[in-house]
Amino acid sequence: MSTSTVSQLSSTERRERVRLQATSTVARRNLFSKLYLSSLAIALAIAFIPLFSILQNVIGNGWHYLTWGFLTQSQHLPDLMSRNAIGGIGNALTGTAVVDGVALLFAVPIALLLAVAFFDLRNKWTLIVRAAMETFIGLPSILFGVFIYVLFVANNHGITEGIYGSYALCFIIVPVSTINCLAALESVPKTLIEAGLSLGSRPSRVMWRVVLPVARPRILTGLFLAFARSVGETAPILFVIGVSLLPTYSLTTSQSTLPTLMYNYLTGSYPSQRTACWGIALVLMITVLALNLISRIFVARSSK
Amino acid sequence: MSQVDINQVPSSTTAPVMSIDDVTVLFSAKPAVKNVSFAVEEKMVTSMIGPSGSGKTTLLRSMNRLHEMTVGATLTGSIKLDGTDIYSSAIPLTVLRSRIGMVFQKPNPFPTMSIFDNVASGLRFIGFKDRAFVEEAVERALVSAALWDSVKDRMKNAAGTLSGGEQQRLCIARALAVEPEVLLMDEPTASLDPIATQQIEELTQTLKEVVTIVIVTHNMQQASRVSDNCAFLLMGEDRAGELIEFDTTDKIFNNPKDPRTIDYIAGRFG
Repeated sequence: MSTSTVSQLSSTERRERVRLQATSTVARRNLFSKLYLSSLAIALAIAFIPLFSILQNVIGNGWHYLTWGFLTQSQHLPDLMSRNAIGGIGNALTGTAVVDGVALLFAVPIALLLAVAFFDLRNKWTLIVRAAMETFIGLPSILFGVFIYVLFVANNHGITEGIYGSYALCFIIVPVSTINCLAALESVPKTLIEAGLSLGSRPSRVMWRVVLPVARPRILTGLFLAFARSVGETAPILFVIGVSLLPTYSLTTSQSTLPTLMYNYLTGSYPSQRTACWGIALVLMITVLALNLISRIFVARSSK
Repeated sequence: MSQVDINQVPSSTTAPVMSIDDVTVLFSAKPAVKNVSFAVEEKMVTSMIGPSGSGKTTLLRSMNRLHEMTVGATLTGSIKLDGTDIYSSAIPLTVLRSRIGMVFQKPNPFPTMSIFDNVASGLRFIGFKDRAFVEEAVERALVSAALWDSVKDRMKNAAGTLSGGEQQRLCIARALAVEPEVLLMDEPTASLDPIATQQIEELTQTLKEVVTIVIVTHNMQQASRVSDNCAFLLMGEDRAGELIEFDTTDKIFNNPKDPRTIDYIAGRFG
């Protein structure tokens, strides 16, 4: 034992000193903690101002558009006699469902295959794929629009089609869902994989019967989040899907989606169309919010 | 509900340092352990035994409020330390946890810190600047944890370089350095080999001269070897743990009152 003066302290005295220090530190910390919390509350309030003003504007100006007619009727060009007769957004809702839905159908198998394949390989290629996907996420999304335009629209005498929009959206959905799926697979405890392999089963079987079922809720959440993101995308599809005034389920004709309709209304010359953008914005907001909520439900239900 | 109350403390002259009175711990309104009452006597080893799911660990974690880390955890009843309710604002949470230390199932030294820094961490966290005091406390804690002789020449080495048993004793030293009154041990030897286990068990016997120990264990021989008093818990029909019997370890193992304790001790279930 060292022979410093501290050794002279009895066990009780040492305990007293530690308690005293702890108590005084707590008093100081409590003061700091109060200051910190109050500045945090102020910062939070400031951060909420823009959010609330956006919500207030969108809901306040948009809620009276939430009628059955607005949601189901197709777009109607105002004429001199009835400047406010703009019809509804039925064409854009249909277009959104078709273009985004087909994009999801294309993207999900690609993303799942990429994630499963490169999760299992676990070599330098995994890093490369991940880096590539992260690069895709970081690229300005209008580049995908330009790429698809050059590849398809320009080679098709400038004719726009809904399916081109689906192709372009794949560039949005695939990278995000691949990264999300990889993260979901990595969240599966390694001992489960080892247990499966120790039973003598093939890695692919362990993946199919053990890893994927465990990761499924997180995978679904990841896919829905990627889908929710694509629903709000404008730039990649803006000049490859064109405009459709009537609702159509066809992929080989021009289509309108909620964001592109909004863009067209805002850049158009009719004031009544411009104000209708509040209604479209509200519908878009509700749709994306609903998709986000659904995605959370998968994980919440599985964690019970 | 429970057959035991704190007045039914085993015959002894020492005062209870902690008293658990009608404690129910709930996770998201589902009870994990309910209506438990017993007293932890000063400078003795109290063990909690029982099969998995009987709420031993939950109860132990509620004794220094670590169970609050789980979202949705609530507690009814009272747990007192020296007569003060640990859930009242009279004891700040951080002070409480320096008075009631914890050693975990798996050794968990802070991986980026040296051996010395690990043991000093508790004192530094509460703002100790006095180097002589800290150095002295580190040495004293390591001596108490029977680790001083083997690490005194490599105090600057990373904690991860120690063996499993040494790491666990380092964690005990880390907890001891802040001079706790009570040391909670959650299956401290579950991941150790028999020799390291024996060292920890022997350690509890010397440590109990300065600190009160509450130990959760799956190993009944260990409970009978190290503890003075013993609480036997069992999962009830509603899947919540209940206290079946609390008595001196001697009585629990040699003359238990409850037929369920007899069955468990005899190894008929669990």
